Amino acid sequence: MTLEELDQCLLRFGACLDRWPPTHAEAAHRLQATSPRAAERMARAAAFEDRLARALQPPPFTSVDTDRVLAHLDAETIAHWPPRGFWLAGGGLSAASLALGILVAFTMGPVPTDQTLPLSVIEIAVGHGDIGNLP
Amino acid sequence: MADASSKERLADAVLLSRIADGDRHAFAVLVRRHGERVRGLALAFTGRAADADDITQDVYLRLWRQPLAWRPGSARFTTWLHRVVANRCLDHARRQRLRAWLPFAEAANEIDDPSPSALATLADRDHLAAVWRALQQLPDKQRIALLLASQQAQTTAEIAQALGISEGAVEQRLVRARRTLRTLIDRMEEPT
Repeated sequence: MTLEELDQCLLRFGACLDRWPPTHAEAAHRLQATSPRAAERMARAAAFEDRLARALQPPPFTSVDTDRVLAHLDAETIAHWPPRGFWLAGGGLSAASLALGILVAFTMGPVPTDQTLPLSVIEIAVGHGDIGNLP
Repeated sequence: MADASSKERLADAVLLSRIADGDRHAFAVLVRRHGERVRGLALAFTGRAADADDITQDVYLRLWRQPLAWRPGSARFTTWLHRVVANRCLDHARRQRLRAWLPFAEAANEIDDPSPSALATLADRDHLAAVWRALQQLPDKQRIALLLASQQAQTTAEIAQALGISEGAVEQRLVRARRTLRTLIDRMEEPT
């Protein structure tokens, strides 16, 4: 491994040799043992990574933070009530009730001698009706 | 009480299936378990505590509504969670850029003080703050890759899975991010 290759590996995999592919890590170890410049570059990279890790250390997530997430969840749940499914289910139920009512009316009611009235109602309902022979 | 402590030990997959049944306590356990990871990543990416809290709440709201979106066996839960947080972070950055173009948009927000450990000396604080500021100057995609590697200790393969890109692309982003960050920090610390 050359110094340039070492630099490239430090940028690719970071300074912790445990996270390098084993063959690269072994080569870096050998180079570090024989080259003070390689050892110096690895030490600099390690210091950089250490500093980065300390700067990025996340603040603790406390019970107050957990409560905040749960409160947000409650607020969103209330804001989304009733859910979309509620209206769909309600509409479906109404349509089914209407259809059932019509069916019951036709089957249970007195048998009309003339079928033209109910047929006209259905035709008007579906938009094909003729109201009083209008021109 | 015994039930509460036993829930703390349940695996993520079990908690998620309980959340699917509306178990709010299982949800609280999951929030506590991964809260630092989720908010920490969002905070380091956005640089602002308020934005990090918004992203954290979005992520958990999604988890509550779609607890079965993650399927055991496909990727580790944490990798999947990182993917969700990373997507939210990148969306957030995109929206911020769009907002900057809108008339009457608020002035660009300053990043927060990273407030490193109380043990840090004043000089140390300055050094850490310089890293923090330099990080915010990295392009979004490089920044998220570097954070997953450095803060979340993810392997290249895990980062590739989380970001939905190849391992080669991850390495490329990491190389560029580390190189740029070193240059930026060196420049910030040059004596004027």
